Amino acid sequence: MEINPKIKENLRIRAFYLFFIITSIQVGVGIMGAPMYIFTEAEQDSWLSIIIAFVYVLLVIFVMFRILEQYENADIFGIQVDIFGKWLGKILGTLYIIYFAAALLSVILTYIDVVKVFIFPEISSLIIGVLLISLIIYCIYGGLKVIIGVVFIFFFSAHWLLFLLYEPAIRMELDHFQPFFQASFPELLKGARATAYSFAGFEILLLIYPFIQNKESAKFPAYFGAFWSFGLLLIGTVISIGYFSAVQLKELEWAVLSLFKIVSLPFVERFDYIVVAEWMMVALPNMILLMWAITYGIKRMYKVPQTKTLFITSFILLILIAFMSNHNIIIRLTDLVAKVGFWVVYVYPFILFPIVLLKKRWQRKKESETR
Amino acid sequence: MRNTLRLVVLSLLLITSLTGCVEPKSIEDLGIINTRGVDIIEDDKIETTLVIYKFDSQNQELSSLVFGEGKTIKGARQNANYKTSFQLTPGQIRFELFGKETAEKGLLSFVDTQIRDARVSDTMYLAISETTAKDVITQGHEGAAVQIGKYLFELIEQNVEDNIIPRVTLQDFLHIYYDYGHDPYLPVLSTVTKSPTLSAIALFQDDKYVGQVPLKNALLINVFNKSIENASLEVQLPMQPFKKYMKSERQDENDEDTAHALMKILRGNSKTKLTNLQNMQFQTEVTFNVTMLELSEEIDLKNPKVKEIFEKEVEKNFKKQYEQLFKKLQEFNSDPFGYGTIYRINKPGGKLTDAEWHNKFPDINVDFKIEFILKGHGTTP
Repeated sequence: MEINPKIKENLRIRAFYLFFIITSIQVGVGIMGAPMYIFTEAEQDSWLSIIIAFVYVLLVIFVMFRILEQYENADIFGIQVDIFGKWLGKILGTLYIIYFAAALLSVILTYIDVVKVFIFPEISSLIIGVLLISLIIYCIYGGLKVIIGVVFIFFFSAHWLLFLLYEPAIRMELDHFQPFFQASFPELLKGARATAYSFAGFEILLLIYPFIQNKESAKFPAYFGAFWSFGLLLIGTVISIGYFSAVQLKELEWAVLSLFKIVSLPFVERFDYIVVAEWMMVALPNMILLMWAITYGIKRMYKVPQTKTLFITSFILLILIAFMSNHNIIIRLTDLVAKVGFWVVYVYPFILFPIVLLKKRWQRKKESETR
Repeated sequence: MRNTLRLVVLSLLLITSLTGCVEPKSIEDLGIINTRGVDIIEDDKIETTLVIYKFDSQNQELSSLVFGEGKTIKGARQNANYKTSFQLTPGQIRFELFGKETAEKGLLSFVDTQIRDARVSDTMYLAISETTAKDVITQGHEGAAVQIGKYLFELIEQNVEDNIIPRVTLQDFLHIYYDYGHDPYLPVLSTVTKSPTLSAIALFQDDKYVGQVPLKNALLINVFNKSIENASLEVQLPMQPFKKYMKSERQDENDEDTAHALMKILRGNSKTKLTNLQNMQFQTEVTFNVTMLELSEEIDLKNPKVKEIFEKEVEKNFKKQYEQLFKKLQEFNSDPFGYGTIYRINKPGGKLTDAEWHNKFPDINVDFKIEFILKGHGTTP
């Protein structure tokens, strides 16, 4: 396989869209439940944990860019093959794809679980699964341009939800944050780690990089995308801490969704129902991007046509969705994805980076010797 | 062409198949619970009184009462379901009333379980009945001309909006209950006349009812929890200090000892700080910006000196009210003001349990500082 894939000019995207891609894949179902996990670790200083996590995310993105810059036009699959050889590189690439698949499964299952808890307890998971997956298939069919279009539109059609947070925001109690700075440093770090699942997703940068037309201006949209999702998570968590009392928040699985329960307008008494439905616009870009990553990755490594992988993956996912309707299993899967994701997304680039540098230096040395 | 055909077939397929996905709920078959009363009857059994709305074309009456018994709230709803041809749904409960005896045993088990069901609204109001919940609801149903469910909800809602009583939704109750060192409060309804009326404010220690204070104290509690606007305020003042400033022409006729004033609060807020952690000494500053609406005696408020005396007198009056209320609260050992929260924030470590606070609360000292600012006095001075 080629290390630097040649992407046709008409398939390339402007770097500007990287902002929407990064934000959309980071903000998904994770943000609904994140406040509880962060708060359990860092209590009223959770906002500090989120800031720490954000700084770390910036660092990871920085390292990712440095890795990618060593090559002309490569993605993670090419880089791994270049460095670890054909066999090991492909195994690592496959693991990457399995991680994406697990993440996709956990996102779909979590969203289905939320719909079941909030709106239709008796609906079968398979039906919502079929609906979601048919939407995913439809989008992937259109190719990367359509995917980016969907991501772009859904970004705007979901953000109005923020205005609804006004109601819980004015009911916040500042006492809930006081006394400040009570959490110890390890607790803060644990809190930061609890954001891993919500912040994960920006590793798509390693896949989508070859598609970017104007690579020189790709950095700002990527950093700004991470900043945007950081802002959303911070807003969600801060309002949750102010609005709920500590004991409540520690037991509230979907705190951000519960915030909307207080919102009530003259024409819609229970706005939380609409919010749960609307959340599909938040979760769907997430699922589409993950599915694209899976199909594209397999095409890159094994030369299987994307449509084939698309249907096979969808079918496997549907079977898994039908069987995994137990809430505890979903939680366990999400935990597992968060744990594995922590290593894959947040640690692995730091291991890869020095190896890439060494290899490149060695290559240059060899070139100069032969000359 | 092929694409359009595919799209049409697909959408038709979806439309026909999706409607079968969830159980249909047509509104004619539903009894939408609007108000629920909860009482404990003998040995832990719960009796619920439900006011339901029916949208059945044959029925003239829109709301009706259904009773149910059971060990849990949901069990009682099931039981009530046996007695009606409608399917009872809890998603629109706007108001929940608890009997006094039930409240004395603790409300948490009834209230907390509702949060678990995501379909229950957070915005429903809670209240306590002077007797039993059944009593208030049935009497109101028979007596009042309006629908009882609507009436009860609006009775509370309007008074909350007028800042007469603090906001008491399900979420407020739970949130205050779970905050360390802060006890919840609820309005009390009674049926002195045929229709239910607001009569007092119930105080809680944790989730247990411990006593009540008169309704006029509600404002004093309310101003602690948020800044209030547009509430009216009545005070009684001694005439003595004003005697020599009375408007001259009517001086001789005047023989009243007290004056009554009705004022509108433009803005009222409070600030509390802990002045001494060791002795648990607090200082609370309450500021009211008011404008005069009614004054029973001819006091010349144009005169800055009179105005000053007037403000002083009202402040004195309020300080006394606050001190009396506070003494009562310490007797009940219930802290709706949330002094415990302020104590927790200032305590090293920042941790405090409710039990700890109830040991300490009767011994705390509070220095109330009331400030009254008379911003205007209407059209006549």
